[in-house]
Amino acid sequence: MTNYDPIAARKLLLTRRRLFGLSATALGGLLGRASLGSLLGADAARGATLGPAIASGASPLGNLGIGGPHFPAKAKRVIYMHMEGGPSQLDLFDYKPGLRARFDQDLPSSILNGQRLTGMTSGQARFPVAPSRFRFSRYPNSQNGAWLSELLPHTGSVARDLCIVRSMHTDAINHEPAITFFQTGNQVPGRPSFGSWMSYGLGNANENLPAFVVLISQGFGNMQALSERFWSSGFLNGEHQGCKIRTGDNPVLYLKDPAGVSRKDRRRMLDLVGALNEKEEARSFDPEIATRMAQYEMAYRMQMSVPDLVDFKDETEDTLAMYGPEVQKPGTFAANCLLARRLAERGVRFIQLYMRGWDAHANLPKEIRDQTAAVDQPQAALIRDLDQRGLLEDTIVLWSGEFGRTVYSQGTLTETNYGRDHHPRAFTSWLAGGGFKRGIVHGETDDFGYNIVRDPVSVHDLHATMLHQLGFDHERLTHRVQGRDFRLTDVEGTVQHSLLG
Amino acid sequence: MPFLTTLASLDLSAVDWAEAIGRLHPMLLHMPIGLIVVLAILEFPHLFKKSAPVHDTPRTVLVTVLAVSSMASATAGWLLHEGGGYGHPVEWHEWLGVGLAFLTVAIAIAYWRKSETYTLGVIAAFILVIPTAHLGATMTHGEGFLTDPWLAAFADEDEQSSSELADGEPGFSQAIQQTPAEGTEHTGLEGQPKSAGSTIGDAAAAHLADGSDDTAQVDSVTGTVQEPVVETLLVLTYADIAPVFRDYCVKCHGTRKRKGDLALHSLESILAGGEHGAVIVPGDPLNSKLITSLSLPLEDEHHMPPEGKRQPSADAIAQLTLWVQGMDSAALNSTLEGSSPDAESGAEPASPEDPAAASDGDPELKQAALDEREFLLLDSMEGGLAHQRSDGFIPFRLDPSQTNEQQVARYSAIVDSLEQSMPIAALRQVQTIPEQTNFAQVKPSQAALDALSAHQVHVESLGENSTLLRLDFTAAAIQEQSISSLIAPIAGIVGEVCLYGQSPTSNDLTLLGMMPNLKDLDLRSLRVQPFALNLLFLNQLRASTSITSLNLSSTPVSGSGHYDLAVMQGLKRVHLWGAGIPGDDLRELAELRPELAVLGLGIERDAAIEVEPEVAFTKYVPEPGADVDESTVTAPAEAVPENKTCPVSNKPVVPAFTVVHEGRTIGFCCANCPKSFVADPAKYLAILDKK
Repeated sequence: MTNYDPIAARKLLLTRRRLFGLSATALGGLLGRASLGSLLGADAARGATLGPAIASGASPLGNLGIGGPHFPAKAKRVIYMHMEGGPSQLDLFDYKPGLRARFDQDLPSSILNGQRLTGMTSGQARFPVAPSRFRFSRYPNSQNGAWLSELLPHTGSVARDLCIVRSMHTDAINHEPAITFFQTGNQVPGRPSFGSWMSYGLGNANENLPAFVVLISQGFGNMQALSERFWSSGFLNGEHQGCKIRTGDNPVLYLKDPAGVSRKDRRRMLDLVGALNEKEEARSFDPEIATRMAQYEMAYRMQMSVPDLVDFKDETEDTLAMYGPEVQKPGTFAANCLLARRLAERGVRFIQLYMRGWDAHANLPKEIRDQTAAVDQPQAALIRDLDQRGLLEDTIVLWSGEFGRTVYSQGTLTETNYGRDHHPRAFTSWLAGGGFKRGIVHGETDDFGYNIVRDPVSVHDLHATMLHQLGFDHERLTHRVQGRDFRLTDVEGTVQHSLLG
Repeated sequence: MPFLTTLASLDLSAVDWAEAIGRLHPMLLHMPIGLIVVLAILEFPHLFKKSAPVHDTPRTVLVTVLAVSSMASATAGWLLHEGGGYGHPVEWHEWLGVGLAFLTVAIAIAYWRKSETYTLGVIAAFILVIPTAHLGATMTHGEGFLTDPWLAAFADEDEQSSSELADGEPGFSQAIQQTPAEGTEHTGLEGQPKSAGSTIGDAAAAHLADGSDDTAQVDSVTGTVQEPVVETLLVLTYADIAPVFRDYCVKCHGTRKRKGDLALHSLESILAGGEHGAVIVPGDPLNSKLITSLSLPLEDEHHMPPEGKRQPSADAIAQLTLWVQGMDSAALNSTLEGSSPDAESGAEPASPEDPAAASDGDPELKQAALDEREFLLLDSMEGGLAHQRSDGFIPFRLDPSQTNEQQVARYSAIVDSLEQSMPIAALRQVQTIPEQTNFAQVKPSQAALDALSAHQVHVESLGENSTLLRLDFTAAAIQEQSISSLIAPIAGIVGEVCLYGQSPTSNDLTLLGMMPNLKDLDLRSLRVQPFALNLLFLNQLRASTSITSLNLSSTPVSGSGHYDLAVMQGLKRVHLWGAGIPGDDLRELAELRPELAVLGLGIERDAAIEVEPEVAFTKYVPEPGADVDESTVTAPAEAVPENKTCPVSNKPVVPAFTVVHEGRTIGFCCANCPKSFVADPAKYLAILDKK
């Protein structure tokens, strides 16, 4: 916000009543949300909703209030399938046939290297290597093939579209901070989620739906809590917050008119409230009022658009069959994948899918079998469906957990059963579309799949690269709050051009 | 004895009894009506007397026959409705009729019991029979049968309102009136014979006949497509489509029933139209009520056949549309009048002669001919004659004998000659921007942006250093005709347009085809109405040289769409999944434009994806460069161990715990024994070999 005027700010803000009023209604004013910095006048408010092209003032169109990316974008939207709990890369993607000769061998200390472990296994007497009991197959891609587990036959069939990164690493070792880190670029809660940054940077392409939508599927394995703040807009305006679409009669909570209230009555109410709000906004310059008015209006339109969105009756038999039999069951990963495609084609910027249940500390073989049975076909179908509609080329599909799992077994190791602990030092994510290279495998881990030996990619790097494809210089997609500019990649992140086609 | 043989061959099981009895309804119903009226007259004087009803033989006969005949009539009527042939309006008539039948039974019972309510019942039946009979008659004779002769007397006072009345809801008639633009345009393009040189229709016919590709020649020197402008439009005859009428229409619009005074059982009656005038405008399906009412949404009250009736397939509608499109009205007129083929020359569509003169006698034909004259008038504007139309329609027809440059120049000339019309005037401004214009200086007006914003069109810049905009109409809530009026003021600086789910008109496509900087056009899942067939006609985009990427997935494209794509010179990639372009046409497109990337069809991708999982499973292959001790590896599950007892524990072998060692497959009893084995292979191998 270049038009920061401290005198204007003082005039507006520092009446006693106003300061107390603000603090009382939004304690977040001091913590992040509804921030003081965002109350600094109309220009700041406009910048906060219209994106960096205006904020920087460099674009000739910026002065007219037209937002947009920094440079022409390869991708227009993101479908981020987050595998909550941390799927085991060793049983799915990171093919280590050599480990089969090291069954139950103690993990060498040269590999372990004195690294921090979780409290769940740090007390274990020994760290026996647990090779994957699943067979891998090689699927054709642009290189000499991608090795994928027998659990992912459908995903393998679209391997030629996948950009598999086997050298991801993250900072956090427990779920909450690791997911928070993956979503917001910081382990500490309070920053805006990736989807909120997208909404902030590009605005909403479809004003009948939120720019950032969250879909949650329950898992079959060990599940961890999933906090609503993972899709919070942090200190950005509330309109950029993720909107969770639920199953059942009420896909979006509190969207339906109460019984007996007609749509006409709702319209009249909104018009009156809108007129009053406009007066208040003109008086206070509080951007949250504009946010609220916009949200009221969007909710009104969503009353029409959401039922249409979640109704699959206009899908062909072929399409439904492609996603598998679970697609007709709302809330399943299959149904959410199809919903994601429907959201993508309607121009929603950021579609966040959560698949819970990958936290296999014990009974990993059974749990991962159930988990992959639920995700394999739908996620492959989503890629194919996007591709045939011409949407894959400008949609980034990201599939990732918040971290990976250890090569050593947590608890008893047998040939048929083992568990794995959290492992942030090396794990596998894959991307598809959005200008990422098709059909490559990037990066390499050591023989134990424990440490990265080639081409490491950090979460910040991944964010920077995705933002690059979305048309942003990640160092310039910023929002000023509490006296400094914040960005998704914090002070790190390098665009990984080797991933980009 | 033809009658006897006919009778002998009668197969009673093949008779549709419901329908056979149901059709007796119109015959039966008059009996109870008459009886009710007679009884009412008889009993009316008794209504005000307190005495018991008179009981005598004539009354007994009347009352009994009334009860029986009204029940029979109601039963027949019920069966008639069930058997089909009537739509929603029957409901009231049906319930009233059934009620009346039961009332007559009640009257009979009251009469036999000598109850006083008998008289009241008769009067009630008399009152009830009036609306029942009226509703029934309305179905047979049509709405306004009684009132029409009177309406004529009022017509002079308020002609406007009565015509609106006749056209149904204003919204509907408005929608119909918008269509002549596209309709005439397409007629001009498709299958109209020309006087000079080879005709488009001939070329298409020749093309269809021998399948050769000589109609589209690619200049091998320049690589440009010279003359691929061929319309493969089938011309269907009445005989081809008559079954459609027979199967879906004539039950209600035929010789027996003639709803809305419209009969569709013969070519003559179809052309004659109904009480609202002609239903077919030859050569112009978009302006033909017959076609538009088939294409309306099922819920629309003007949709035909009515909701609940058997609906024709999309193919059948397509056939009808093609038939209307290919109709040569002049030839039809002459056929109907039985004139010699010579007479046809005078009514050739491209000629300025008035076809109305050819059909003086028949007033209905004259009306059709007047429609035809309007059509010819538009047609004659092709030469650049300025003729302003309020809807901004650009009268332009492609001429296969001209190069693309010539056609575009001619197009521009026509556009220049059109004045005042809003989108067209704006278009001219766009066109006058010289090619070297620094677009940094061109700024969209705030008013234009406000209009876009008010219609929920998302506007986005393509980057800080770009002066171009992306317009996203996905959420736009706009009238069909205003897409172009929204874009027009900023048409020169738009680089990308997304019209997902919208209903662009040919006018809108014309504008898109002329925008100098439009590179990326997204036409996914369009709802193209009221275009007959719901097909998108791409010919308006042909003039564009700037569009490089076009997405048509899930938007059905007209039969000539692949030719339209072939002449779009700047086009590099097109998505055609779900566009309904048949394989032959795709191959032709690939021949005409080998460098054009046709995407999304997934034919080859699908094959690879289906095959890979079966062939790709490879047993243990070491990764290149991997530092692995290959001497001991857990064997795949299907490997059969050579030993029956575990060398370590001497227990029976469980095949799941098997290790390959120096080429030998050795089984163990559990997961722990292989560890001991690996620790000292020589010792356990010795034990194995001993056995």
